[in-house]
Amino acid sequence: MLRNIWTIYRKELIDTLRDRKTLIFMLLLPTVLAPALMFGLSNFAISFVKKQATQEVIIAASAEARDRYVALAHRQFLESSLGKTLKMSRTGVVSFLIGKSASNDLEEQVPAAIFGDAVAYRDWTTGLARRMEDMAREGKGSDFGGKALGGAANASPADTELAKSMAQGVADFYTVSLRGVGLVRFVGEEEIGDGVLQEDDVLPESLVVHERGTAIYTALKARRIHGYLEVVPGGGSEATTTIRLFHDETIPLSREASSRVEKVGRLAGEAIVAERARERKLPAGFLEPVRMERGTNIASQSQVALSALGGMIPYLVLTFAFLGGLYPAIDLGAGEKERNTLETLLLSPATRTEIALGKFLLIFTTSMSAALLGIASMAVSFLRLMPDFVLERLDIRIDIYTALCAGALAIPPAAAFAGLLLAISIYARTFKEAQSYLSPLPIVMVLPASAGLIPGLEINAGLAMVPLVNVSLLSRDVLKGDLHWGYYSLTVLSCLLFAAACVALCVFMFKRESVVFRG
Amino acid sequence: MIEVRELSKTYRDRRKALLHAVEGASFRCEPGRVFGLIGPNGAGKTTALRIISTALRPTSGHAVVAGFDTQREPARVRASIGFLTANVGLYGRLTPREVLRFFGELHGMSRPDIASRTSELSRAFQMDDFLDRACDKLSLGMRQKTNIARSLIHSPPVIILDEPTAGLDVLTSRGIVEFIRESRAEGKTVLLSTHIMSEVERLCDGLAIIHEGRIRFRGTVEELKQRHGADLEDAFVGALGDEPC
Repeated sequence: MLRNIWTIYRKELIDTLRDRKTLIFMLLLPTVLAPALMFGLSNFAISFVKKQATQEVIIAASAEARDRYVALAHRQFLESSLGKTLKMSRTGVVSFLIGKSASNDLEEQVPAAIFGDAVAYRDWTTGLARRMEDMAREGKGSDFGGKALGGAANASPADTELAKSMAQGVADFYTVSLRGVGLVRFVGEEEIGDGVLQEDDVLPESLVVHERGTAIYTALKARRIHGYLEVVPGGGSEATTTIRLFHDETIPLSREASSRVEKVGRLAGEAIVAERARERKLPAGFLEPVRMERGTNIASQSQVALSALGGMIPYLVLTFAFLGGLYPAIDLGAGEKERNTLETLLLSPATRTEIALGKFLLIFTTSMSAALLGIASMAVSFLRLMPDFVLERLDIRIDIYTALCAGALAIPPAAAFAGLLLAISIYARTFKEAQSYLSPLPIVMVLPASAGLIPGLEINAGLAMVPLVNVSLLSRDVLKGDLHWGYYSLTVLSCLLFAAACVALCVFMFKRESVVFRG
Repeated sequence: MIEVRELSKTYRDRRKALLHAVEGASFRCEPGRVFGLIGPNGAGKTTALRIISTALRPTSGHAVVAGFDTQREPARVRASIGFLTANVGLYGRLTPREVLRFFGELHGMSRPDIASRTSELSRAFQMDDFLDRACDKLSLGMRQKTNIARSLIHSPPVIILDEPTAGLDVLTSRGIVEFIRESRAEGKTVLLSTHIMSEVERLCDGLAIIHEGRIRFRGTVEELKQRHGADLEDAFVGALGDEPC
């Protein structure tokens, strides 16, 4: 029996490996196309978001509104930890950084308040940091903000060190502290012109009552500006200041302008409240009655990241295992019928069981290979293609044991798919019919694959016996490196039983004249 | 030897109506003889041959091949026959040598035996030039030669050929006819289904004419001519109108 199974398996393997379509599904798709698509797409999305974050948004405002906004932003900045350090050390630098009394060349680039966009200012701040360091090293003073930085020509080593740390702090501030606030360029309100409404333009209620409503509306729609800012101070010293930004949510940069202004408003509000609380000597608990302490998570950063990524594993494993087995299965079942080779094989001395098992093992091999290649390729691609800052943040470390667990996870679905795909393919009359039967399966497959995403649903002995659902649930634990081998054994057992039932169905169909000679 | 007794095969069509593909067919094919199963398209020839080869089960009746009942010992029957069906396909990505090795191994032959038998068949069917070329790249004649060689790799005592020369050129057909003669000379039982009357005349020691699932004539070519005229084609057409026997 084993000899015939091996003979059939080997023949199918040679036949399959010579088929370009199979190789594409089995090798090219999981190893090249899928990672390229997935990471190419994510890199594209990241670069798109990054580009948008670094883009300047243009906001029209009166000089008064602009100054009020800058003042708010200034306070917010000073309240930040870095701001406090700099304020204590060199207030001139602080002023310069927020653009109040910036040096001439930067004044041109940054006409008003600039807060923080990490990426936009990465080069700028690095350059600045270097310049400050150089000047400190050379013992030169700086004219930043009209104040000397790093002392005079005879700067002490301590001053030089301070200048260096400040320079680094400035760079850090722009690259980290205010990431996402982004660059805002103000233009005078006169620059938006008058504007004329078109026939189908309908002025929103908020602009109907505004004296410059039409001009704001047309300037926003024409994308000459991304927002129109108004800052209305409250009556008293502690009254609420209202920030109003007319913008168009349907235009990405206008939406971005709204987000940046809102963020500055929120942070400034928090800073002001904190300052008032300090002035009144309110206890810290007044503003923060409850604090959720951080650093209590006992899992490592790597474990947390891998656990989150574990949700992706069932999709990868199931998709690659399915695709890897799909084409060979169609070829070995319906394809044999269509090519009129099945009858010859059935009339050989090999039993129906041997034939079904030989074919099953080949599909299992391709399915398993595709899943393993896919997982390996995605892991390598992930580590190679993801941006550095993502990898640094995730701090992912995959050891050999974890890799083996992920590989072991491919066995049960590969077996289940091999059986199922072969049974359906043998039933089908033609290659095309088999494709029609098998095409909806990936959609059906999504349901059990999603089991791992259901909060609180943990693997147990009962669920470990449900094919595919068990793989999905187990995969969450795999990347954490704590695969429960007992449940894994049940998972393998259930998938093998399912595969055995499918193979038995194949044998049954091979004996049915109505199936073998269908059509 | 092949012995067919009261063989019947009934199907139900899509409207659940009964369709008698073969009805009460009986004939006997002895070793060292070529027996022709002749009939027009749709007469039931291929169904009868498939029953004899165990691909189909009869609704009633029996077929015994090389001493084994097709229903009770199908595996032994399969091991004893070389069956070439009409329009049979080949594994396109394998070479004829690989096809022969595959089926040789399924028949339990050793590697040296397969190699030696492959050389023998390759010489007999002049396959040397294309023995290592992918089957997808072969001409119709080359494919048919490969198929015949495939069905004979294990030197079966019984050979069943369903229209072996259909669509082939004269040279290839002649080679196959010659091979059938040699097989007969070797004492093998050959059951041949064909439309080509000249082949019937040259090869068949006995024949049965089947029409609408029932045997209309059973005997020798000479007996057929005596009954329905000297021209074999006319005699064949004449026999189709005979009462089932």
